[in-house]
Amino acid sequence: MKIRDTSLFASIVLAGLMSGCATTAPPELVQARTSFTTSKQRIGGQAGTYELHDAWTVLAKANKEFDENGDTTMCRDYAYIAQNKLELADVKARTELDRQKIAEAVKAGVRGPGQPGEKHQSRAFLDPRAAQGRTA
Amino acid sequence: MMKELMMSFALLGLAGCTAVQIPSDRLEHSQASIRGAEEVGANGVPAARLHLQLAKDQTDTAKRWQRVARSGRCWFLARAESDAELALGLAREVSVHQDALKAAEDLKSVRDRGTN
Repeated sequence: MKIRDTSLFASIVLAGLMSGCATTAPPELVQARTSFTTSKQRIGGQAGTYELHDAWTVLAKANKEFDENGDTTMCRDYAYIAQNKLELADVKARTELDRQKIAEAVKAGVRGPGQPGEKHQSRAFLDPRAAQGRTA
Repeated sequence: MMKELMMSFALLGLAGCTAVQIPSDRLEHSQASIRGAEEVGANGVPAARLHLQLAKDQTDTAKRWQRVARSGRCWFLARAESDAELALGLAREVSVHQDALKAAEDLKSVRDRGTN
C-alpha cells in the first residue's frame, strides 16, 4: 500500500513537472509578447503600423506553434523574427516623427532637400516617404 | 517490379536534388537587404552593425547548409532578412534624426531672428 502511494505521488510530481515544462514559453516568445503590447500602445495609429501588423502575424504563428508543439526551434525562430519586426515598427515610428520635424523646417523655408555639405540630408530625402513628408 | 522500384528511386533522387537548391529569391532578398543596410551606413551605427552582422552570419550559415534540410536554410534566411531590415531601419533612423536635429536648430534660429 505504502509503495503504491509512493509511486502514485511520484507519478503526480512527474506529471506536474512535465506539464510545467510543456507550458513554459521560451524567452524569445515571452519577450516578443511583451514587446508587442508595449509597441502597440506606443505606436497606435502612427507610422510603423504596417510593421506592427506584420509582427503580429508572425507572433501569432509563434504562439500557434508553441500551443501545438511546445518550445520548438520553429517557435523560437518565429518569435525572433516577430521581435525584430516590432523593433523595426518602433524605429519607423520614431523616424516618421523626425521626418515631420524636417518637413516643418522645409515648409517654413528654412531648409531644402540636399543642402550642400550635409551628407546625411540627401540620403534622408532619397526615401519616398520623406518626399511625402515634405509635401505634407 | 524492378522497373517500378527504379522509377521510385529516380523520383526520390529528383526530389532530393530540388530540396538541396537554395531558394534563390530568398537568398537574393536577404543579400539585397544586407547591401541596402551597408549603403545607408549601418556599419557606423552600433545597434545596426550588430543586426547587420547577425544577418550576414545567418545568410552564410544558410549557404553552408546547402546539403541539409531545405526548411532549415529558409529559417536562417528569414531570420537574416529580419535582421538586415532592422539594421537598415536603425541606420536610416540615425541619418534622419541628425537631419531633424539640424532642421529644428535652423528653424529655431530663424524664428529667434524673426522675433528680434
